[in-house]
Amino acid sequence: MLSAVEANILAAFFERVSKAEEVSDDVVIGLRRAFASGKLPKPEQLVQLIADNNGELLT
Amino acid sequence: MIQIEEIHIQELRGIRDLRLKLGSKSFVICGPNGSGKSGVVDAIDFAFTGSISRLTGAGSGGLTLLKHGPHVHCRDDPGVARVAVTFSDTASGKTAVLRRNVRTAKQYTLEPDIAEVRAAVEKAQQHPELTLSRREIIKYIVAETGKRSQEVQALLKLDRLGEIRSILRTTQTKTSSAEKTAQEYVKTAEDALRRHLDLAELLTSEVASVINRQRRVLGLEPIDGLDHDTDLNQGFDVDLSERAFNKVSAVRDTTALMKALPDPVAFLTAVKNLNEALDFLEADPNILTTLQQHDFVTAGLALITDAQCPLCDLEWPDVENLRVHLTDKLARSENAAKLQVQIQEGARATIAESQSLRKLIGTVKSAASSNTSDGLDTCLESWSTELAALETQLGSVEGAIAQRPRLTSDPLGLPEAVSSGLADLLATLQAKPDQSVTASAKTFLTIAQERWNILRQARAECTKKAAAQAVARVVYETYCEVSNEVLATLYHAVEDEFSTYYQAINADDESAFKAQLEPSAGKLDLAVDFYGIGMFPPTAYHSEGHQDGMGVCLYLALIKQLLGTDFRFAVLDDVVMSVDSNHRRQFCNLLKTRFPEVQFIITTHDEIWAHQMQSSGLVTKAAQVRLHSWTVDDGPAYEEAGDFWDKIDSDLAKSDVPPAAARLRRNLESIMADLAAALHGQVAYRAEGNYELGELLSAVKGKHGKLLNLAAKAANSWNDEVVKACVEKLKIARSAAVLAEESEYWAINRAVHFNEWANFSKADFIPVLAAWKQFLALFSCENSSCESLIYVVSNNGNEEALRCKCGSFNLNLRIK
Repeated sequence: MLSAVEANILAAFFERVSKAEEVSDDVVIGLRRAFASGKLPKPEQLVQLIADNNGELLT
Repeated sequence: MIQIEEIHIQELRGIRDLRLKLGSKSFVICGPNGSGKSGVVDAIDFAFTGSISRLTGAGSGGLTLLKHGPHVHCRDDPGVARVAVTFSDTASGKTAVLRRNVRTAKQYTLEPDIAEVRAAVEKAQQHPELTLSRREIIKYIVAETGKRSQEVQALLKLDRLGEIRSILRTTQTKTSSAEKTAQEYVKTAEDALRRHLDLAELLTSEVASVINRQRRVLGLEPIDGLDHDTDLNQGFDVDLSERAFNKVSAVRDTTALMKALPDPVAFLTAVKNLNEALDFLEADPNILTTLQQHDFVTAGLALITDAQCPLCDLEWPDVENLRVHLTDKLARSENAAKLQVQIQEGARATIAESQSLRKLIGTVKSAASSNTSDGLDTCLESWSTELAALETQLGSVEGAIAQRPRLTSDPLGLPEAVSSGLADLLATLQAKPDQSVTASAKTFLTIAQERWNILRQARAECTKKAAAQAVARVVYETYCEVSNEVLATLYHAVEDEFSTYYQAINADDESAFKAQLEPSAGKLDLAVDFYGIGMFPPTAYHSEGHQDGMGVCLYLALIKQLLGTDFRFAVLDDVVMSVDSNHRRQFCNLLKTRFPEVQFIITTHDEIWAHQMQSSGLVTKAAQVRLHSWTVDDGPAYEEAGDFWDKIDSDLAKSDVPPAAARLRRNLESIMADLAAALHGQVAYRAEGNYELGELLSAVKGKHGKLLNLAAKAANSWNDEVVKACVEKLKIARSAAVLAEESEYWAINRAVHFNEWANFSKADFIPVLAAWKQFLALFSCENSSCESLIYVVSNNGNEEALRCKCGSFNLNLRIK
């Protein structure tokens, strides 16, 4: 379970990262889901998430 | 948040049976060392968290709540070690009784068990930092910057920030590695195509020119240029039944492999870098253990769901403690982790170069299998398999260590037969009759298309990996940026609060004090002002007492940030033991004025400080307990707080003059200091703060007389007959009391300077006592429930009134 400050930081992070040109909406949605449970994701999951959701955008 | 009304402790730590009524107000537990004060603190800690922090953490190895929580006589019966706390929930105003025993420490009962009070208990359970000792407070000040960052972040419940940062950084590192590998695949594919086309560089115009030369032979339309979708062999059917052989191309491939051997530069450079990293690892075997722990602990951290350690099944007091413990371990292996990254990078580069080499080997093997029969193809196949096995081993640090002998002796593992076999193959290829122009053009275009396909795929993959890396980098940097901004704001707020609190305690000499909290790369630097000379680490020039003061102030600033208006309860276990008497008085004022809604439970071995807490109004006379005469069999004896006059009377009832006299003297010293401060009485400044009773008494008497004269003048100016009469009455009382005090002061003087109490009889002492009672009564109001001393109210340096806390005593000092 994240503390209030940690949760605020995460919310501000999602807000800002969603505006970054390089990051697709799908990646942002995936990141939100990955952190939603309160349990932290593994780096491998995030690597996969980015790879899966940037494929179409990038090729 | 909870506030304690009453606590009943049985058979816990050093306490056999103790019941304290705190009334949801600040409370003092006073007693000498070893009298059981910390037992009460442990009981409160236990009641709300199910654990005792002193039995966990650093230096508590081998101690457990189950074995060492109960009183030593009940160590085999943890069920009888129990605490019952009657508490109120400040949010709902509801009251309940919480009961917990050591045998079933994780469970508690509530009566009544209603949602609001259960939520309050759960909240208190999440905040074990509300119970803390000097040892815990001072760690915010004297800690190393990295450690301080952890402590502060743990207190602010920010320890998962580092974890999230680390996860995103690792994600970035992994995508970066993947991008580098993809770039190397592109380079390998480019080499293969360039070699086939016999070009130094793959410039579009030159590639098109070479391809069109062959296409013209076959009567095909030339290609206009070269893009991602261009087919080099468009217009003729490729025979897929057999592998295309082009003599010229096969000669070039074979020559390329021969040139690369026996020392392929890129591969051997990658191996050299890997070996350098492995040298460090070999030089210190502990690093490997730490590295293994690093992975193990990282895995454990990710698996935490409750207070049971996922690595060893040990039950922790709470999930946060467990998390902090594992995060601590990870931080200690940070250097090892950096080395791990170096090794992984070296291994990755070696694997990429090996794969590139194997691609070339594969190409030559095809030529060998159709053109020689001396087993070169089998030999190349087996060598390639060996290299593939090496690549697999290099996938982990342990595997790389296992391959160390090979990496330091013959990493390439080139079979002897290969060199001579390649020379034979080259001779065979060169001796072959040239292909017909048409066949040569067809096979040339077919192989060119094959290699172009591989290059296109490699480039597409590389573009994807580069984009993924860019995304991972932006994600990581954005998180760092946002968290740094939020933390900077948070730390600035803490900085301001901390400075304000410390200034309040040290208004006499550090009223311009300021502090700086600077987060940087997982560290938290703390610098404090030293008398306007500059900013220094807090331990550089400030005394231990000042550091104690800073510790408490920083703690209060942090906890205020964490809980805001929910900060309603804290247990301070002997936290300002090194702070001198004058600054402790200011500390009382700080707690009273800045945190009026907070119930502080404060332990101290210093009776004078306990008295200061009462005289400052931080606690009431009734909100105190004295613990003393602790024994193993009985625990502490205790007395509810009472007037020190009662205690002196009690001593005298036993004709025990020396303790009564000592008590009188110590309390007079303390009260006179409080009175001098309250009335703004002036004494000659002493840097060490040790004022003698005589000089304080003189200042108090003098200022009291002046204030009454001023009150009389003010009453005259306002023509207030009632106040004039009141002041006159006070002056008469003062004259009598001062006369009595001065008549008996000889006794005090002899006792203070010559320690002659032992020679006094009860009869000598009774008039002394009466005189002081009469004198001190001048400074209290007539309302017996008002326990404060009278004090001067000033505004911008102007003394405006002389009042007591309840307002019964209130003299105007302003003249019309």
